[in-house]
Amino acid sequence: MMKKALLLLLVALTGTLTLSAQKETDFTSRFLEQDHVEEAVFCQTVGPAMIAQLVTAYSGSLSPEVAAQLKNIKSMRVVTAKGTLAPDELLRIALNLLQQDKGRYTELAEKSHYQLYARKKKDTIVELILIDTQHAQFNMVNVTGTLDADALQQLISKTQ
Amino acid sequence: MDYKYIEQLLERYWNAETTLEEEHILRTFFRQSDVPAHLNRYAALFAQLDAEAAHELDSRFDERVLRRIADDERTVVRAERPTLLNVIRPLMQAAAAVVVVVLTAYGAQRAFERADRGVWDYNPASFENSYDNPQQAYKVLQEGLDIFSRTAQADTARAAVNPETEP
Repeated sequence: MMKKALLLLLVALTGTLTLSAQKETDFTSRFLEQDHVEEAVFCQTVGPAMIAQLVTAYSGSLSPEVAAQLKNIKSMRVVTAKGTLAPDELLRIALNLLQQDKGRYTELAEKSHYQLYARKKKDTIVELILIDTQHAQFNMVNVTGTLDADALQQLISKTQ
Repeated sequence: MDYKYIEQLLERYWNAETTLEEEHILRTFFRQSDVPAHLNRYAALFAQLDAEAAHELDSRFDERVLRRIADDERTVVRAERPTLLNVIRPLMQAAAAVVVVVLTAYGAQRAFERADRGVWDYNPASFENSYDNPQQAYKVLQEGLDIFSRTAQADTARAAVNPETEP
């Protein structure tokens, strides 16, 4: 009986740990999984640990605007096209993926030269995707964090 | 009369050392009517042994035993029919175990979620830093923020030039 109880507990804990390990991934992770995308772009990632390190170790040398932004940001990925795939094609793949995840991402703005999408949890934006297509280029910034309306406004307004 | 031989046989009998022949001699001796007084007390024992030896199975004993064996062989062994409760008991036990596991996992999961700092639900391990150098990482952050800034500026400029098409 005792053995059975211990076995059950072990199974439950394993299940819990497995469930807790299954967390969300950001848009860029999925974008890079699309056919030929990973080879066609240059992706630079700054993860939560590095941002925390920047905030604590370099707080004095950061500009006040950047320091204020970093408080709300957990990660940032900057994706730029290498040129092997046309910017229009990369944009099409990205928009297609965003359309597939319609329930997950909300369109905040769609203009001729940029697209802005967000993933929200209640009133908080936890992920922001900006796709900049100015000058026939493809630049994407994927930010995760906890951004309220003010933080978003700061981010999309002049930061320097 | 000298009864030393009988006394010796008796001694051997008590020590369980007598042969069948010697025991026969003893039973024959105690069957006679003039057993001396000092040996008379053993006469009842040997008389009892004689009486038991005289018991014989009656003529129908074999018949009765064989009939009983035949009756036993004819007895039909019926399989016990399980009740519904017995059938579903393992299923109920398995279901109870699953419920315990699910409830424990759900409770623990909720506890983990409550302990989580906020709504940010991404796996930190999925963000592998491109640079270990904080200065290079800072440049990436600046670049990302610049793209936001450039986009916002371009948006403002376009809206100023053509307010109808760029609301």
